[in-house]
Amino acid sequence: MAQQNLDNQLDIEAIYARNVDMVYRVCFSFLKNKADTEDAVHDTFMRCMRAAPRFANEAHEKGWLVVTAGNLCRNRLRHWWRKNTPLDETAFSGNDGPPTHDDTLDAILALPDRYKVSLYLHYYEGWPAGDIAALLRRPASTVRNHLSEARRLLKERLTDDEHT
Amino acid sequence: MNIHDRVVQSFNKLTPDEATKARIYERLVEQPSSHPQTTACYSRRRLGVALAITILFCATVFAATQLHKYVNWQREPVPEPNLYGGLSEKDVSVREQNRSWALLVGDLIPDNTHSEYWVAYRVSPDGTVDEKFAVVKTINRRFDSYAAFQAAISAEGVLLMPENVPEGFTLEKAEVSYTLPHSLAPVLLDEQKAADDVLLRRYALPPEKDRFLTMYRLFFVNQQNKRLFMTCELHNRSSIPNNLRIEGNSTARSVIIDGMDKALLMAGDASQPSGEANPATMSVIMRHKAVLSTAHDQGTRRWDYIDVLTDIPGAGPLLVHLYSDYHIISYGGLSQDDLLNIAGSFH
Repeated sequence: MAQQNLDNQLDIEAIYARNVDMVYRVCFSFLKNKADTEDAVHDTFMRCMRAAPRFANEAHEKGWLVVTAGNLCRNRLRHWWRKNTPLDETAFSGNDGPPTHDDTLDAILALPDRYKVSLYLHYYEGWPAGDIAALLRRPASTVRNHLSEARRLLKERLTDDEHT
Repeated sequence: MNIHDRVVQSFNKLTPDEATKARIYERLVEQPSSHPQTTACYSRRRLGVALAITILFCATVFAATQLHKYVNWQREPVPEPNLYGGLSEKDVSVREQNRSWALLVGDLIPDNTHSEYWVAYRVSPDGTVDEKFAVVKTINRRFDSYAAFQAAISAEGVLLMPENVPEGFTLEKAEVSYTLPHSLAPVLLDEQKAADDVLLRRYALPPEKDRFLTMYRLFFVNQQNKRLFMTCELHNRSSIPNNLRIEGNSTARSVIIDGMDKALLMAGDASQPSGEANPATMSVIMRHKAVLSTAHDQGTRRWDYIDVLTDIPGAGPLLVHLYSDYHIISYGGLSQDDLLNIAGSFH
């Protein structure tokens, strides 16, 4: 496992290089447009620079960043002008959305926000539900339920799309 | 292809390109950090850039403090709102803990529908449910017709609204939000433990829900695509803001609006080359006080965009003062007189 701290200094350049793809994907899954996503990614690493946490290992580093990114995105979405904007108005139109049309991606973006971090960590990063639960400080049963519900919603939506 | 592979493939498509990554990183290293512990900041070039940016940042911070100010309804300067002013260190700590809990719990509450809603209660370490500390998301409803919106507001009985759609404008959409008081005693449908300290209960909404509108937003547009935006928010006794924020060099003056207790007219930045007010920021903010006999604490306390219900001690009808604030913002297309006429049409 790579050592994150170098003489007590946070190597933000290395941390950024290791994690920017992950943080960007997570932020986009919440915010659904490039401009807000770039701001959220910037804010996540800025918070990391300011907090200068001592990461025990890469998994700790990854977990800290993904939780921070999720929280920052949720805070952005909680502002009333975002909270009350219907999904169809915030979504992906023109050049501001995902690069190509993808039914699965559409279905992921439409999932309730509370499932997204768990879904990403489990499917993309390969984390077991127990580790995600420890990271999010939730009961493992809650994480398993979230994953199961997310899977059900994805299947439902993708089946619908195939039938239409 | 199975779900796992499809999810991975889709997330891969969200990978940022190199230009995007470089752009974000540039912003990151060029912004001065309050924590100078990054190795990035130790290179000579970056140190120089950081120093220059720091000077710029300090100037910007100084300028930013001049960009807005707070006044009372009489247009007198008042201090910036301090959420924790006058509280002991212990009380601040408790509030921060409550706030953190409320924020965390907000994510566990499913989205509400118009027929039912969910409330998250805090569970003490000894397993008892704290009925007096709960978090609920507002219930939002959208109307496309002004008549339907008027009917909803009329049923609520406290909030005011413009008599008609302002002349020359059409309604784009109207949104209302309900926040139900805990003491309304809706019908419990089921409950589940969402975390060690969180109990989620699902309730059926009673017919009286329509009396508990706490907020609305109206969006109008005219033929020139100029917009008119109105908001209304109901406050309870403990959270009435009396610090009104004024941006930049905007001007503000107290005005008298029929039927309102207080009103302030704010015109945009008057320092334009033309010397005229910028119509884009012309707005009226006004407050109405209603007295209502109710058995419920109709107000809510807001903690960082999440509504936290509060109970009032005792039961039975109470005479309460309910304050509602109205903000009308014109983004051009209206003269000052037109704007004041619209404000005067609220009933």
